[in-house]
Amino acid sequence: MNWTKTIFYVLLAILILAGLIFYRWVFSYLIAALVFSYILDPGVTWLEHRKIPRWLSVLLLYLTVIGIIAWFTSRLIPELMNQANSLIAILSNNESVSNETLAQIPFLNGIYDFVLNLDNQIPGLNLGEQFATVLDNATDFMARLPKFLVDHYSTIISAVSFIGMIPLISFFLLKDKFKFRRNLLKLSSNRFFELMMIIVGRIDKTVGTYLRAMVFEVIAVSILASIALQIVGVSNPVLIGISAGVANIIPYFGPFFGGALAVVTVLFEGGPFVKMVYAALAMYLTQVVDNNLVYPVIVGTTIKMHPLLVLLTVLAGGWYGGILWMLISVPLVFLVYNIITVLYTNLKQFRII
Amino acid sequence: MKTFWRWFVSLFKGPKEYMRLRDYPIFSKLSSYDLYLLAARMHERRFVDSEKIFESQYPLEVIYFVRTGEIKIERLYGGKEEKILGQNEHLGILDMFHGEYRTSTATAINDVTLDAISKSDLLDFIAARPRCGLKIYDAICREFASLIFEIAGKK
Repeated sequence: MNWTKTIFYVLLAILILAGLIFYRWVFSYLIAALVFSYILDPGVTWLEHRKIPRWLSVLLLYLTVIGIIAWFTSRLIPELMNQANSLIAILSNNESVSNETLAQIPFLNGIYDFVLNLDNQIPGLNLGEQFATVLDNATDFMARLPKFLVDHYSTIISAVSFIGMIPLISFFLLKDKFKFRRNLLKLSSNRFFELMMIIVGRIDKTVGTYLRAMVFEVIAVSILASIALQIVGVSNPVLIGISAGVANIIPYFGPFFGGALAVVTVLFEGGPFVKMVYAALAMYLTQVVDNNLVYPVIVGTTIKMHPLLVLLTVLAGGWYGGILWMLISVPLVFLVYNIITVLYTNLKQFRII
Repeated sequence: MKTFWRWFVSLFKGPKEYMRLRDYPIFSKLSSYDLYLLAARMHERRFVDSEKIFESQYPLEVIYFVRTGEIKIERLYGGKEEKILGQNEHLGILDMFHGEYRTSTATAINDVTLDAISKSDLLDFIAARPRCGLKIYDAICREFASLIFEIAGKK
């Protein structure tokens, strides 16, 4: 047994562990910056091939992104805020919701009667009251929002600093991309160098392609759904469109959320039945265009995961960390699965296992 | 004064490391900016005497260029054949056009320094810079042509 080697590896392991503990607070910053840099990387590479230095390419892209955000903020945010207020008003009716208020909404009469009937027949069920309580809580939360903002100012400041740090970290990740990769691969021994090169390359390609495809798809579905809902005359089309676009990250089940939100909005607004059908049709057409045109062109291949696995992953994600984890759990499982497949195949081919 | 100024500037700029890539025949006609981009994708690897660089039937991902030292190549198909590769020669280009796996085994016969580039990085580079790609493919074709004539001459 080579004691010098063993002691070196033990000390190295301790050092790595200490480093991980010391830097654990910045992992979330790093992951967010990585996502951001993956999205911008093709643009930086494209500019670099046109003889613009990487640092300047990154700055030019940042300026473009800031410009787009500024335009979006000035043109769309006020409208979006109006739509959000209007949607909350529709869903909560802006006051404490009583059973009578619910009964006034067309098409809900039948359902509400049915619920009341159930309440009468099954003692202690109180479904109608529970529904009204949920809406009451939502209204209360909206009323408490200004106080909440004042009470949680430190959280808000840290959130702002988080958002501010991401472009800074991304700048270095983008500018020195090849330097970081070279230094990472330098750590591998000659025996594992080619294997490491394959793994790093595949992860880079899979993660990059997937993240960019996801962002483009969210934008495409948001725009398509907003236009379709605007055409059929549903209120708050932009807000519902963006929600549908974000929900689309979850394969198979995400699109239903967008459709349901559109239909429920019409339902609570008291629109005619035919408008609900139009809203559902608009969302269905959006999905048809997305699945047959946008997704194949942008992503090339779909996530090859069984619907049951997707459902279980979404449920597990929901239990683990709420809506955010419901959105990211499927891509995360997909990426981990891909990495393990590449690792296993290549370890076999290089006769390491 | 001019020499002093050049020396002073070189203190900040550093030597242009990437220019040495031009010594490799397949990159000899590339512009200095092409070489600069290519150098960013290159990795330096050092092997000691008798160390295996790769074995036959391994997946092919890396193309090596010999910066210093010598390498013994053993081909196992069609009868055992050995070849010694020296400075500025490359390993893996022939296999790149043949399939996904190595067709030979490479061993360092003294201390060797290699420049390594990933096959996918090289192909992406060629796809992004087609003019540069043409120059690389032209050089590769010339090498293949002389290899064919060399083999034909032996027969």
